[in-house]
Amino acid sequence: MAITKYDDIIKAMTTSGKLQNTFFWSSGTLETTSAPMSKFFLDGFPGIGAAPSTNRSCTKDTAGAVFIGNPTGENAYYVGCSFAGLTNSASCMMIDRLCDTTGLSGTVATAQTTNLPTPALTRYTTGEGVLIGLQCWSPTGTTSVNVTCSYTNQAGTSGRTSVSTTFWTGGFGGGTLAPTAGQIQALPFQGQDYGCRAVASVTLSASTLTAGNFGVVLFKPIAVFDNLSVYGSNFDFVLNGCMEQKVDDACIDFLFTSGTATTKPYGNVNVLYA
Amino acid sequence: MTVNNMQELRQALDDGKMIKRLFSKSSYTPDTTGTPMLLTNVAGIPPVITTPSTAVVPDRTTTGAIHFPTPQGSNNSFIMGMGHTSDQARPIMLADILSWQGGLSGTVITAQTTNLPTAALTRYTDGVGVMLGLACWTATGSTAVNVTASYTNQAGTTGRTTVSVNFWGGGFGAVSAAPTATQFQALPLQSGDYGVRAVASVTLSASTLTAGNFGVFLFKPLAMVANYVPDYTGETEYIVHSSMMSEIQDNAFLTILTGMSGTAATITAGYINILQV
Repeated sequence: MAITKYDDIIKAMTTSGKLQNTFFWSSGTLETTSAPMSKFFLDGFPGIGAAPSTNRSCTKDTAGAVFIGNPTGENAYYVGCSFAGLTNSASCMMIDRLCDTTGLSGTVATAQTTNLPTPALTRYTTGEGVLIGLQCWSPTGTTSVNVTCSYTNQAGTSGRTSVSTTFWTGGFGGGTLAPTAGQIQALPFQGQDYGCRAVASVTLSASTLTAGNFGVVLFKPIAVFDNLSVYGSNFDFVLNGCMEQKVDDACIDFLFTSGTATTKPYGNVNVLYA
Repeated sequence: MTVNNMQELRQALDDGKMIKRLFSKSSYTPDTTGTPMLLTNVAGIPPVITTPSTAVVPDRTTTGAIHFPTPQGSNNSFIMGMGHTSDQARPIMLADILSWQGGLSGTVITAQTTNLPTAALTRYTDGVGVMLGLACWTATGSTAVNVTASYTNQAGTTGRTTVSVNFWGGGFGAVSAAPTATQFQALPLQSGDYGVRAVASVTLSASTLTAGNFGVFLFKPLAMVANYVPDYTGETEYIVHSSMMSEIQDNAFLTILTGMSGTAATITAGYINILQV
């Protein structure tokens, strides 16, 4: 069944219909203010994730995911969370990490297809609301270059091209050109596109002079929240109107931004099912 | 029983199904900004614990636990609300301590197994979501060393090793290496793990030069509440603030963990509203 009215929320809270898990980051020192970082690749609880050998579809069982099991025969919903920074403030985006790749180089100035296209989506398969990210596995160079990718949009149209933007700092990216392992940049879509099903290639406008290693990650944002300084906050997705269904096998990850100081974010994720 | 709707919830409150439990902890001083503290070690209400030695499972009757009654019949206990005030702003976390021990030394640089392995879990027995903490019972030295622990993960796999981090300062820990007797640190797990069933040993990379006394504790975080302004009360009503009333297992050893925002001596007092239906 589905949660169709607020009373269903009340009932789920007082029965076995709930799942909750807690997380913390060991560090979270950013290379610059507002550079988005992925929890996946920071030590903490759960344990750190790792780069795929080629590419992969991500699930709740992928190392690094905040584990939330699948309820049997029922629908699950993200309903709230708590979030704090042990030593600093931060803002955070909870995401379902759908797939990721590795093996792209910061020195290749032609269209790169290593370990691409991305695996077919197993969740949010229409691609609506799915964003394109670049994941830094090991730092590329700091020479300023631009990046684009070729992708299939939410309508199934292939050959779409993301807006050319500065590698690592353009789009939803950081503030400087020196990336840190774990950092993510989301690329802006072409025209009126509002989702992505797959990425076929990534092109740099020139060499950054250091190969490093980066890849593509497709992800679905679930919620955005923050905390004031170190004091912590609770967020209710139901009464704030952003309750979203949790798709089975969701690979829960977090992108967070803060200042350059060590942040050590922590909190929990709340899921109800009925 | 199940509360099926808001009307039944209101009726449960009218029927006195919600109990309030108070806590008040006297002055304690963190060593540096960001140091998480374990308030079991601080005098007040409930009283300070007896420092653990052998590996045991604390429960709601153990000295130092925030007491709550056993729910009647098939009823269960849920955290409905929580609030606290302090003379420094900080968040607090309500946790169930599942297993603990003591007697580890800050000067031993081989794998320490004194009073280990930890006592078998009697709550959250699969270990999912259970965190691995080190509690500072008596201050060890301030020489910077690293620490790891060998543990059994949520899948029952033994011999897993936490990520090597700075003792007291790494993981979910403080910024400096000079611990105080109420401080704790949670260790980051090995890749792929999201829970702990037991800890077999703890290893320091070098001597801190003072033995002190520390131990392992396994805990399950239950709820958090923020507090933005010193001397004001931060309150969270979990139905409307997070749509989640965490369940408290019947024998839970409830205690307060704090994140810190300063180094001045402080007190913390508050309440927990527990719905038993």
